[in-house]
Amino acid sequence: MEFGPIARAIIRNKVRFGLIVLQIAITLAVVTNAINMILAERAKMLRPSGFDDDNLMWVQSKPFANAFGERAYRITSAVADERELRTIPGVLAVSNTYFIPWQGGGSSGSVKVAGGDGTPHQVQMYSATPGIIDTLGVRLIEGRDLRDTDIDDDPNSKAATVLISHAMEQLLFGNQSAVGRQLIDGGGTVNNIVGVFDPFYNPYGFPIHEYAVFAAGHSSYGGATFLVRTQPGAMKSVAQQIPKKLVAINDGRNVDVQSIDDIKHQYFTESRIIVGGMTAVIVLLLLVTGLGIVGVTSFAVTERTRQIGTRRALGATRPAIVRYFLVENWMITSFGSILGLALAYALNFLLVTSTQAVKLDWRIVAIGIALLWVQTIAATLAPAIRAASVPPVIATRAV
Amino acid sequence: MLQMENIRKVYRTDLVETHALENFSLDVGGGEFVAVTGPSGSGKTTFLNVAGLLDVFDGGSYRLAGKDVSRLSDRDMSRIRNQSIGFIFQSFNLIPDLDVFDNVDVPLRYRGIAGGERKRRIENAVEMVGLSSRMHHLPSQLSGGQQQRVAIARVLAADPELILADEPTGNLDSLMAREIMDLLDEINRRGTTIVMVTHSPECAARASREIHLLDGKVVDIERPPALVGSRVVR
Amino acid sequence: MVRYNLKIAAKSLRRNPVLTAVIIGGIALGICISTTFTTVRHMFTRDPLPGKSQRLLYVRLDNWDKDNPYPASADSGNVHRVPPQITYKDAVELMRSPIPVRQFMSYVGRLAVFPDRRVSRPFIQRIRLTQADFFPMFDVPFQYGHSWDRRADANGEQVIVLDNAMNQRLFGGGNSVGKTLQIKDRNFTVVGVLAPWRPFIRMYDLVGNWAGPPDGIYMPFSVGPRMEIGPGGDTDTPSWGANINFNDYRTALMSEMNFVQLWVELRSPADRAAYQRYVDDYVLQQKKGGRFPRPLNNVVMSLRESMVDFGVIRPKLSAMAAISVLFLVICSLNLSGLVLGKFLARAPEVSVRRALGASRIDVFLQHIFECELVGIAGGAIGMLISVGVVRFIGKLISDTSVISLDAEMIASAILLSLVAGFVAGLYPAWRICSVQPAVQLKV
Repeated sequence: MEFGPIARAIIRNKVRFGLIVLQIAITLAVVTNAINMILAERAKMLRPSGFDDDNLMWVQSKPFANAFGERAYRITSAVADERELRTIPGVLAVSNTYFIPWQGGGSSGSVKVAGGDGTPHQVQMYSATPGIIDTLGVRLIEGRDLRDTDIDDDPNSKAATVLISHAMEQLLFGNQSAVGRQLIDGGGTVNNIVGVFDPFYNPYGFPIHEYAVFAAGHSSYGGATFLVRTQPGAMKSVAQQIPKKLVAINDGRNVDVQSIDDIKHQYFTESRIIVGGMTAVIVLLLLVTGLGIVGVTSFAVTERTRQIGTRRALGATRPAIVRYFLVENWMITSFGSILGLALAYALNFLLVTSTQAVKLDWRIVAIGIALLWVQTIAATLAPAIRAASVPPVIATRAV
Repeated sequence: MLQMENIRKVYRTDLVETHALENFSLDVGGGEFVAVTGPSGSGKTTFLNVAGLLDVFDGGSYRLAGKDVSRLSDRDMSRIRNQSIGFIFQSFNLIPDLDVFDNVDVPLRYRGIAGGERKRRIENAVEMVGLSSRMHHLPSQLSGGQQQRVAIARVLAADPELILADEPTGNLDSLMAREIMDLLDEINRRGTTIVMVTHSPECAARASREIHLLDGKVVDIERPPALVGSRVVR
Repeated sequence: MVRYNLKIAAKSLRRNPVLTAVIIGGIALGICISTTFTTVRHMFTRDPLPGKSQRLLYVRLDNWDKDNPYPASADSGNVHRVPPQITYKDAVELMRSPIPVRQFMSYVGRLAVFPDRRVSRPFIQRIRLTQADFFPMFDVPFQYGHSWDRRADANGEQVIVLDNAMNQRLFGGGNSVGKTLQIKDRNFTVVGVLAPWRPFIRMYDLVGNWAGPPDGIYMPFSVGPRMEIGPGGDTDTPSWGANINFNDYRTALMSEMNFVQLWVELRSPADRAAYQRYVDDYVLQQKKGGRFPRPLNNVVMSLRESMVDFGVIRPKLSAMAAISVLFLVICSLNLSGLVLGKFLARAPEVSVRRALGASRIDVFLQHIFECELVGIAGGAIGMLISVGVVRFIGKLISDTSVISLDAEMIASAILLSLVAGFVAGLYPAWRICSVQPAVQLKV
C-alpha cells in the first residue's frame, strides 16, 4: 500500500491535519485517564469489607425518656434489646456495638504494645458484645471469641478484654501471635487480647482501614446501637419488625433501622459520580470524534473528487480507493496516538500529583489506541465507500 | 490496436436524451498517431471516455489489443486502464499534495511493482521529460508545461500500449505546446500508439492521421499517403 | 456593521439547517458537559460568604499527646495536624480577646424533643448550641423573629431558634415565635424561625458531614452546661489520653476533650496577625501551667483556608472539571472540520464579496461572527440541559443538596461558548479569507 506518499501528503498539510492530530491526541489523553479513573474507583468500590454487607443492618435506639439518663438503665435496656433482636425470625446474629461499617469514619484511638518499644499506633476502636464475629461474618483465626463474662461495664475499670484484627496483629507483633498479649490505650487501660479475627476492612479518615480492636462491653451512651445480621432474603421483613418489637418492650425511645448496603451506597457517592461522569465523557467523546471523522472524511472525498477519478483512470480499483482513505485516516490516528501517548502520561502525571490518582498502566494506553483505531476505521468506512463510487469519467470532465 | 464498431453512447436525463456517439466506428493500428478533431459537443470527449474504459457504451463492440472489452468487471477494466492505457489530461490532473516522484508513482503502485523497480522507472521517465531537477517539487511549483510533462512521465513510467490524450495542449501557450507535441512524437516513434483528441489544427497536423467528428459520427478521414507504407508495427 | 453581519450569518445558517443543527448540537454537548462538571466543582470550592470569608477565622489549638502529633488524615488536608476542635475552657478564655468584632463558640448535642403529642412522637434531635453572634457572622436569614442576644447568652435563657423545616414539622410552618417546646425536661421559647436556608457546604461546622443538611434547632451555648448536655453530633470529639465520659459532666467539661468550635470575625484582615499573637500568647501562658505539651502549633485559618484544610475542596472534582473542559476543546476542534467544509463550499460567494471590496479582515470577522452566533446558541442549549444534570447530581450527594448555576457559572458558560465558537471557527475562517478571489470567480 502507499504508506509513503500518504504520509508525505499528510506532513505537507500540517495545519489542517495538525488540527485533527491534535484532537486525536487530546482524545487519547482524556480517554486513557478517564478509563484509569474509572478503574481506580471501581477497585475501591469492589474492595470487600470482609463482612456480610448484604445481610447486615444497623439498628439505633434513640431514647427520649428521662430514665435513659441513668447509665445502669441504659445498659439493662441494651441487654434486653439484644435479647429481643435475637428472637426475631430471620436474624442470624446480633451484637451491641457502635461500629458501623462503611461510614468513612468511626472511632479510633492510640495503643501501645505492653512491654514493647512504646511506639503508639492509631487504630479503630470499638466496643462490642459477644456475637460480633458472627454478626460481621468474619473468621476467628486465633484464640477465642468474646464471652459474656468478659464484659466489663464499669466506666472506671482499667482492664478490658479485646479481639483484634489479623492485620493489626501483624502490624504490632509481626509473625508472632497476639493472643495473650496486652495493649495499653491512651487512657492507660490494659487491653487483654484473647482472639484474632480476619478479615477486616473499614475505610477510615486516617489510613488505618484494616486495624481494629473490639473490646467486650455494651454501647449505650446516647442510645444503644446494634449490628444485626439476617439470613439471606430476610432483610426486609426483619427491618420491618425491629422497630415494632423494640418499641413494644420499651416505649421511651424511637428505633431507626438502616441497611449497611444503603450506608455503603452513600459512602460511594463521589465514586459513582466519577464513574458515571467519566463513562459519559468517554462514550460521548468517542461518538463526537467519530462523527467528526465522518464529517472531515466526507469533506475530503468531496474535495478530492477529481483526484479520485484520476486515480481510477490510472487503474485504481474501487477497493483500492477505499483502502486509500482508510490508510490515510489510520495514519492520522496513529500520528495522533503518538502525540497522545505523551499527552496521556503528562495528564496522568498531573492527576497523580494533585489528586492521588493511580499511575497509568500501559495496557490502558494500548486499549485506548486500539479503541481509536477501531473508531477511525468504522467512521471512515462510509465516506470511503462513497469515494469508491466516484466514476473514473470525472477525470475527463472539464474543470 | 483499437477497434470500435458501431459504438453507441446515449446520455439520458429526465428531460432529454442525447446521442453522444452514434454508429461510431474506428480502427487504429498499433504504432499509429491518430488525432481526433471536431467542434465542441461533437462527442470527442465521449469517444475518449469510452476508448479509455472510463465510461460504458450502450451499443456496438470495442476490441482493445485484440480483446473484447465490452462487458468487463470494474476490476478488469481497472487493470486494463492501469497496464494497457495511459492518459494525458487537458488539466494535467496531477495530485496536488504529492510531489513529482509520488505523482509518477501512482499507477505503478496500483500495479504492485516492487520498490526498487518503481524507483528506476520513475527516474527514467522523469529524466526523459527533462524534469529530474524537479523531482521533489509540488505541482503548484511547476508551470503548466512542466505539469503536463510530469503527466507524460506518469504515462511513460507505466509504459502502456496505448496513450489517450485529451487536449494535451489545451491549457498551454504555444511554446509549451510545441514541447509537449515533441515529446509525444518521440514516444510514438518508440512504438506507442497515441490517440489524441484536440482542438488545435497545429497539433492535429503532427499526427499521422486525422479523424473528424461531428454530432457523434465520424465525418472525415484523412490519411496522408506518405504514411501508408511506413506504418510501424509493434 | 453588527446588524449586517447578523443578517448574513442568519441567512447562511438557515441555508443548511441540518449542518447548522449538528454544529449547534456539538457545541451544546460540549458546553453541557463542561458546565456540569465545572459547576459541581464550583459548589465545593466557591467562597460561601464573599467579601467576608477573609475576616472569619476558625481557631484550632494543638493540645495533643506530647509524644505524637495528631494523626494525619488519609484524604488531603490537615497539613498542620491539630485536632479539629478545641476544649471548653480554652474557648471561654480565648473569647476574652477584644480583637474580634464578633465571635462565638458552639458544639452539637443530641436531645430528646417532645412536641405536641398530636403532631408527632418524641424524637432525638441534633441541636446546635451556639451564641448570638453566629447568626450575623454567617448571614443566617430569618423568616420570623430574630436570634437571641448576648444577654440571653450570658443568662442561659431557655430560648431556641428553629430552622424552616423544623418549624414546618413542629408548628405547621406558621409564625411560631413565642410558642414553647419541651426539650429534654425543660421548656424553651421560640424566638426566631429561619427562612429556608440550605448552604451546600455547612461552612460554619466543617467537622463531620459538611455536605449534610443544616441543624434543626439552635440554642444558647450556656444552656448546655446547665442542662449537662454532652456533645453528640456526627462530629469528631477526639481527645488523647483517658476516655472521657460525659457521665461525669463537670469533669468532662473542664477536661482536655476537644468538642467546642470557636469562630471569630475580625474588623479587617489586617487584624489577623494581632489575633494570632493573642492566641499564641495564651497558649504559651498555659504551657507554663503544664498544658499544651507539644511545640507551639496554633492554627488560625480563614474560612476558605479551613475549607481546604478540612478536605472540602476535592481534587478529584477538579480533575473531572478539567477533563470536561478538554472535552469541550475536542468538540470544538471537531466541529472545525464541519465548519471548514461549510465555509469552503461558499467560496464563490465570498469571492464575489471580495471583488466588491471586502477586505480579508472583513471576511474573517464575518465568519468568526457567524461561529460565535452558533457558539452562543449551542451554549444556551447546553446550559439549559446542564441545569437538569447538576440537579440530578445534587440529589446523589444528599437528599437536600441543591446544585444550581450561579451567576459566576453562567458567566463562565457564556465565556466557554464564545471560546468554543472561536476555536471551531478560527482555522476555517482563516482558510476562507485566504482564498484568492480570482480562482473562484473564474468559474
